[in-house]
Amino acid sequence: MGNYLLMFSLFLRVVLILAFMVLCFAPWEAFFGAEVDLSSILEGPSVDHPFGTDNLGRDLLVRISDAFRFTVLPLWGFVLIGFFLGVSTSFITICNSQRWFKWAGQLTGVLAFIFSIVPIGITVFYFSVYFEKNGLMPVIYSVTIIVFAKSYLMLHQLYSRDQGLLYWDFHRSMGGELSSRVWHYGINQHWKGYLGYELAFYLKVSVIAEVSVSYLGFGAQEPNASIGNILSAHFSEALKGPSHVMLVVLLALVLVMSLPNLMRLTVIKLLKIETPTCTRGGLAQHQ
Amino acid sequence: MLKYFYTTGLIFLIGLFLSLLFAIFYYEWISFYRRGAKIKLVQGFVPIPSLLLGPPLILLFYKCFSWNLIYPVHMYADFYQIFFSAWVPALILIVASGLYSGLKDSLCQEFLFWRSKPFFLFSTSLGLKPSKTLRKIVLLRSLSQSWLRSLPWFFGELLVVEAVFNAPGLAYEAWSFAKVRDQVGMANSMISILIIYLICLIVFKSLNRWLGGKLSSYV
Repeated sequence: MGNYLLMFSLFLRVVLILAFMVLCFAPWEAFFGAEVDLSSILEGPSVDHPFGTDNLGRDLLVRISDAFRFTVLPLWGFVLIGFFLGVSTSFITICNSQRWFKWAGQLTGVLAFIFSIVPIGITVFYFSVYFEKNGLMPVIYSVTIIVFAKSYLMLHQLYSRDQGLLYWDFHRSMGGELSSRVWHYGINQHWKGYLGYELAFYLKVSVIAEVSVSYLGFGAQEPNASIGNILSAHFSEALKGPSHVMLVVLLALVLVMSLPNLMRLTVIKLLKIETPTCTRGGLAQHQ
Repeated sequence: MLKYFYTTGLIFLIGLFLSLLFAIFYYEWISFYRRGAKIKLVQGFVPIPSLLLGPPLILLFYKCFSWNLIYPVHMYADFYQIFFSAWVPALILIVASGLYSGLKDSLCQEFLFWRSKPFFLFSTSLGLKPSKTLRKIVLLRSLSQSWLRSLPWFFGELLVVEAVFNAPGLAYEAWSFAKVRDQVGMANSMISILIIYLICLIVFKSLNRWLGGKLSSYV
């Protein structure tokens, strides 16, 4: 019974990931059209418009697909860049004991600490307003910097936690190099699960930050699609009339938010990666 | 500024009170009803965007019960109206900031940890109530740890929650300044929020450290 349940959950995960891929990459605008049509405002789901239409008569499926393609995917791309830069910078500063590297490492550590201590929602909002630019770039810059800072600090935390372990001492006494320990025992072995967990968390958090800022009228703005600005445009209309747009957009938000974790769990299952048994450490504590 | 501070402060205090209430009830449940049973550890700390909770809740209450959850206009409202309007935003912030899930996880972990200590066995052998022996330790530690973890999310989500509920708090003020591109006004509001956040962070961090030091001698 347990085995069937596990298989079913794996199947469900794969289906949801595929649903995201199809929503994201299929050429929906070729089938349903993306132009404004004031004669079909706020229509319910039909054959012509599977998810219905928005307040300007545009097909909602196309709008959500655009939001995934042009907002979520670039954001996740930059989160990945920030994460790998943070981890590799941390790796370099840990492994190099030269004075110059130590100073650079300390300076980066202080800056990373400052960025990691401020709530991500406030930082992203402030950047978006400060740069006075419509669009995704201020959100992307701020999220990338925050992810860089947090992943930099996280690797340092993992290193300071594990450096006193017996097998690290043994490896040191056998003449092993620090970089080899950090890579083979850490990043490539026991820290892999933590890194995956944190990466999935950053991907989810970046979506939350973007959606919130777009809802507040900054970040991605009309005619560009974002889950936040679609939600914001339809909130008052949902109070007065049909609320199917809200429902569809909220479901899309749930899908896109749960996707990083679903992907992480699927990869863990398929590659049989060791996972952290407890989630109390890591980002949750140092942010 | 005082008016805005008053709303944000009220939301924060109600959030604190609600989390304490939830912690007490949940602790009683795990310590009494599930004393012998295996306690399932949940995956702790799951922040949820408040946009997923706030607008649907407003919609649901308005459409089903004709109940308006949006804040009244400050000028025409008395203290009680403002006070009762702050409960739903506070509740949403507790769930959205991951405090609810974190607290559940933390209470279970702390209860299991302290239950395995010899002093607990000793006190139960003396006939003391098991739930009473650990209540103070588990509640204080779980609350301080969970709040420390959720504070950045609580203050980050404050912006959206105050905007959705039209609550005239500090974050709402910052948003209003941002909409008219008044960067100085916005910076002032943001700095006020950050100061409150840092004070709370220092308080919870000190409480956590003090508790850790005090409980390290418990065997």
